[in-house]
Amino acid sequence: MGHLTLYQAWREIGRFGEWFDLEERALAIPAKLAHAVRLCLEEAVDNLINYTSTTAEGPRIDIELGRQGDTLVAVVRDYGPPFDPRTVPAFSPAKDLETMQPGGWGVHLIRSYATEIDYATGADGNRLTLRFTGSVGPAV
Amino acid sequence: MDMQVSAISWDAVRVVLDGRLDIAGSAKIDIPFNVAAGTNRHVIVDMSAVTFIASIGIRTLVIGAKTVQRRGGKLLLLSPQPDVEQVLETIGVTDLLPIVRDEAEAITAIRS
Repeated sequence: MGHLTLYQAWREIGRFGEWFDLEERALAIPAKLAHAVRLCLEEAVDNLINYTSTTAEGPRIDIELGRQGDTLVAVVRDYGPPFDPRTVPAFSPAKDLETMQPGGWGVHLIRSYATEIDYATGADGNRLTLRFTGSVGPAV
Repeated sequence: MDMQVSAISWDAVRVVLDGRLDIAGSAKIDIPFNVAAGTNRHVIVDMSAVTFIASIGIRTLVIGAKTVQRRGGKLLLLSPQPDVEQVLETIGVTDLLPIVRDEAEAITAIRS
């Protein structure tokens, strides 16, 4: 299982892209599946960098990616206040540009592209587990 | 992510984006894209070489579209790749960031 530790800082995001490129090749992830996984992980990391404060455990994010049979499993750990994306209210698309507030789409994208989402929090931090099976795509 | 701007008429520019419109890519083009949106009446964003888009990239496009619309112009997306278009559809912004398939269709749309 591939592993990456990022500090919660924007300058780190380039390392995520490089790491995912390597994992995509190492795990031979099909292109459409890789697109879904990259999107969900980027949205998760984006949210954590934006909204999670530094804790005694350190301002870091741990990402793991591996296969379990036909399923690709991504785990994102952080050590800040818990935030369960499954509890976020359903997304409502904007009706016009004038009143549209750009942003707030990350959780909706994760919920649309991941096949299954689990979230747990405890003494060892928060753990978001995303599972992806072969035929991924958004449930629009 | 690379960005190039070229005039296609007296009041419209074509902005060609190339690469991933992810967090790193958006950070790279955010300012020049806003300048292009703020100084031209109509903006046609050539998305054909954009291989990936995340919500932060959509934010850049939406802010540009709001800027253009405030001055009575239009921002159109030209030929996004299927995976990119699917993300835009998932967010529900394709009515607000209209998609065109070629430059002729884009010109027709901004003149309508």
